[in-house]
Amino acid sequence: MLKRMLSCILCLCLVFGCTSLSAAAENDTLNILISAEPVTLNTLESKSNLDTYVFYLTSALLYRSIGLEVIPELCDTMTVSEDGTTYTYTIKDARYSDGTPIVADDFVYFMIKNYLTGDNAWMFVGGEDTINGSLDTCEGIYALDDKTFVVTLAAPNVTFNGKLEIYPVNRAFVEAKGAAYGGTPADLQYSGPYILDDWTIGTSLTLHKNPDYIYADTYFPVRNVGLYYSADISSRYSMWQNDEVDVMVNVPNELVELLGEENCNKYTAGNVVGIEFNTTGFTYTEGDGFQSRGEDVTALLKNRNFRMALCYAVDREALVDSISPSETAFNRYVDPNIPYGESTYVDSFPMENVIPLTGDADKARECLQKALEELGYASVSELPKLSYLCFETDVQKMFAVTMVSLWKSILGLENIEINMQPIQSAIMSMVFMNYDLYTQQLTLNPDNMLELLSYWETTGGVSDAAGFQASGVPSFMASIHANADYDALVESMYANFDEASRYADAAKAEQMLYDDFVFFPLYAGGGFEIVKPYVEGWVNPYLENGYGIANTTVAAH
Amino acid sequence: MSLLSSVSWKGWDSMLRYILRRFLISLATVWMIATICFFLIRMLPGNPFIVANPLDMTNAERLMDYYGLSDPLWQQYVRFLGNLVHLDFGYSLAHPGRSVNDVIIQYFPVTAQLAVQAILFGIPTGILLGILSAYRRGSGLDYGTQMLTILTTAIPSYVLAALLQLLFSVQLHWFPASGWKNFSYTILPTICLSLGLIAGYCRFMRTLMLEVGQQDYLRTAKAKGLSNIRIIVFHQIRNAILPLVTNLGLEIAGLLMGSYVIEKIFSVPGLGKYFVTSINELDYTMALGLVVFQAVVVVAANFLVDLLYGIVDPRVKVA
Amino acid sequence: MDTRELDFTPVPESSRDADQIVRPSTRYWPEVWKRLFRNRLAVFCLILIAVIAVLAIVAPILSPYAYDEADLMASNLAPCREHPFGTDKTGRDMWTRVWVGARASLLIGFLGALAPFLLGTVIGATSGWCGGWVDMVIMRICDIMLCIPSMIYLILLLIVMGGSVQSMVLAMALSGWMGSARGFRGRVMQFKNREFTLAARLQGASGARIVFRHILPNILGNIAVGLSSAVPGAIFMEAGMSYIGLGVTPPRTSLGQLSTEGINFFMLPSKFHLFLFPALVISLMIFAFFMFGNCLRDALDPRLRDEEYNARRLRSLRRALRRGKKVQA
Repeated sequence: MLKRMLSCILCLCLVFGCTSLSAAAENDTLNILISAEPVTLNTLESKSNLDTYVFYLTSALLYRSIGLEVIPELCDTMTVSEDGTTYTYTIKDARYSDGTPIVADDFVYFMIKNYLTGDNAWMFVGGEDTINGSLDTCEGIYALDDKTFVVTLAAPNVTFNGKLEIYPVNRAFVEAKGAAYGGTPADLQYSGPYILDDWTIGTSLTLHKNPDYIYADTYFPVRNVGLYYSADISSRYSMWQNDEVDVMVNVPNELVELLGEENCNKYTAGNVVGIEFNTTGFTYTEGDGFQSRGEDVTALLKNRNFRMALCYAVDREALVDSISPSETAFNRYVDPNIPYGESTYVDSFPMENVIPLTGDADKARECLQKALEELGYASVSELPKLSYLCFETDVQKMFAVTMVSLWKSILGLENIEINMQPIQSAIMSMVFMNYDLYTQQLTLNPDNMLELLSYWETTGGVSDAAGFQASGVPSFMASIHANADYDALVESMYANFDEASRYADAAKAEQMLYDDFVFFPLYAGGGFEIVKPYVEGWVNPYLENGYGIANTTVAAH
Repeated sequence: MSLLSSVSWKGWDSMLRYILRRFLISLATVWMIATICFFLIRMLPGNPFIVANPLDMTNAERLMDYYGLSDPLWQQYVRFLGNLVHLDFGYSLAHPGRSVNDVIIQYFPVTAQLAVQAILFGIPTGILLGILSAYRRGSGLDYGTQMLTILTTAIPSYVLAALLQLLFSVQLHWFPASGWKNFSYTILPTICLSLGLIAGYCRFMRTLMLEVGQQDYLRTAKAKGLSNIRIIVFHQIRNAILPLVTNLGLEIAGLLMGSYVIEKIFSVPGLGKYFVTSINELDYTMALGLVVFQAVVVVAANFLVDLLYGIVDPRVKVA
Repeated sequence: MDTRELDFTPVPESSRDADQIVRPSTRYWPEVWKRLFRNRLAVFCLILIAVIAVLAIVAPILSPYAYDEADLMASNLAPCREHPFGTDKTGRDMWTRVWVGARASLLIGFLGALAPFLLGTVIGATSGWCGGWVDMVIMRICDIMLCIPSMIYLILLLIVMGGSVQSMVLAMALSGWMGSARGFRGRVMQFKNREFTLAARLQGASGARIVFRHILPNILGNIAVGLSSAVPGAIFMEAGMSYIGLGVTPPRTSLGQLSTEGINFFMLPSKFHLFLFPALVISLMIFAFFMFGNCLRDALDPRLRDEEYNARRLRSLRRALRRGKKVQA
């Protein structure tokens, strides 16, 4: 009886094994193993660059970069007034997959609902009124007719040029769906190259080609796309080896060696990670308000030599290489992918007086000695306790632990304690300045360097007085980095439309940051991807605003 | 005649009163759980709208106001209770557009399917192995099953799962390693879930069979000259299986809550994984909805087991 | 007097001792220990646990490396003379880390099994002894606690206390007392109306005294078995929590954490040691506790054990007979 049961089970296994294999052999399907799921399909509420994949589902207004060239997608013409404040757009004839025509008001609605946030309301005429009154309209953003709309800026602003992600969202559709908008595949209108068939949360998204997409005949030759999600490393390996997926993005470090580093492509994703020092001298607790973090602690963190000693002590190249080879040790304050001319900004404008990536133990001790003398300490054992706040994630944990160990063995510092917290709590602690050292991760679009530079302005970053006022938290004039020259330089860049001189200014500003050494850059985030040999023309969607598969084909295999 | 009917009516009456009382207590239990979890979750620092990028911080507060999370906590609690009464758990905060009710309706069947498959495969197999190894004490089969139980206990489930994937997906290409599309995707997680059940029930059943084997009524049966099979099936198994029934209800309730580890490894869209994610994201509405739902499942399972136990074992009086 | 002589014949002198206890009297526990130590498997498991415990205490002290000392120049070394278990990706000595991890896992295993039990015993005893509304309230609290996902207060505890052995044990006590409370309550109710309890109560013993001096010893055996099988459970729970990211905070480590990290390397020959050693030690530990629990149960309840033993003897006897060999009975 047992034997019969076993043989039955074996037969079943064989049957299902065969069916699953035959399903994998279809040719017009591209299966991608993603490392993180989209947060939401609600285009209006989307705040995460993980939603890149969602934007396979919607067209964009202006340009969508494919490779380094830029092409208009739904935009027919764009005219800018002479004073550089009024943008007039006309749009092409296009419709959603359900037949509704795309009109100019769809873009206006998206801009008001998604684009206009407390952070950039000042940019548009009437933006502040819209935000404060929670209005559905904005004085500076309006449609002239079904095909034309106008955006009026309060002042000429280079960063607006950079904001290319404007998508059409139908007002009537959203209002009819209410809170359910974007919840299931049926609660969304599709204007992009693909239509979502199914989203099994935590498992997979299934997409098929949208015949109504404006460039359906030219781009996106793949008919079906499967996006598979797995949080488990050995499962990802098994899926890859079992040919369940054709492309794996964000190959985990543990698998790179197993799959062969030569088979994986390395890319940089556009975020800068490093250590931020709480030089404000304050901490905020609900109820007690602002309190001093201790004069000795503040003096220590404000000491440039001390900060530099910490940096000199770490061989960042070896550190990054051994902990997370998918990242690249990095010595700058901005995104490594910002294009400039033929190459990148980072390569075109090198910094001076930099601390070498390989570190220098002697220099580190020298700097620490200087710091101790300046602050009047006899030995390192007298230094006050510092708390190093970091995320409870594998990579961050490892970096923090290893650096603390290196500081201990090279500098003899035993006063730095790690405070590890789950991501949400860690960020909350950071916002309330409840840290001395913090692993900061700064992310932004490659074409918006100013956003990152403005973080180091006196009113920038989390200590942004206006931001705190809006949030109900009392404003304070403490800032991580306060330098009037720097503020003036960055502010002037907003109206500087000459790319060459703006980038030269940016380099000047960055050099100032470097000289003040407010931030200890560690690495530029990145990853490995691996693609099966029969997939042609794959471009990582992370780099290309989600349109990496525009020219991808899957050959017979 | 009249006496008989009045007795049976009295029996029904006490039964109904018992059920009603238990039902009210169950409701109160669910309410207590919901309340405690509501305040516990709100004690966790942070809020669902905070994002890792400090350049995008101000939006969080606007959303807090929009969803009424800046109101006094008691007002939010009253609103929460109001929605609870209407069985409306609202929409996810971390994933706009996702309705909590939809998630439960859509993904509870997934967890349930996996649980039912694991139970249908694991428990009979475990019981069978237990009976066989008790029957053939000291034989190779007995030692084999003992080894199996020890192995499944001594190796963490994530290691077992990885080994299963390597064997059945990477080497043999029989089943997909991870995902959730058709029946073939459910096989590996089912095996992984049921291995624990097999080991547990095998051990349990073996001990029970041996214990029952000591009882006098079995000696009587043997003395009467009944065949071995008859003794085992009608006397030993019947008596040994009784304690298993009580255990079964809670076991099913536990499985219906989903297993985070298995669901994560095999990318199963189940409630267990979903709950952990929602706590990590501080998705208040989603987490609370799932807690309340799971509480209802467990409380209902307890209730049913108590009732069933009275039916299976006539010695136990429900009231 | 004739009848008396007819009905009662005097016992012969030689069998006078028949109703005397000839052998030295044994008591329950010494007998259990004797049976336990006669069992070779049990002794082996005890030795295994002792060896692991001694290594966990001594090895990190004797090691020239600290468990959290990174050396980027010596990363990913295979096992060699300086590093018997190799090094991890930041060059930390795995030998030291494995035993430091074993320390945490053993502590969590012991205390994590003991703490919920102690808490559960007191609560269960109160509930069972008092009965009535006290029992009702405690059992409802029990039901409620069973339904509240431990995840929520685990995260809270982790944030308040930090991920240490203490907070893990506290978390386990908070999330695990319900089971032993229910079990103990049942036992107390069972023994509450027995004669010896009544006798103790008549002599004026207090409730606590009756429960802990008279009822507890009766079920100590069951408790011991439960405890020894709860140890692997606690070790596993820590490993599982590490998998979610709620375990002991780095750079401190546990075997569960080390093997979770290592699992991703077990396909890779050059880093296989990162998986092998922690997984081996944790598996041995769990095996030892598990089998020891089994042996303890057998020693406490010898009926099952003897039955098995007899069956095996009988079978080998039969097999020998079938082969036609002479057997000395």
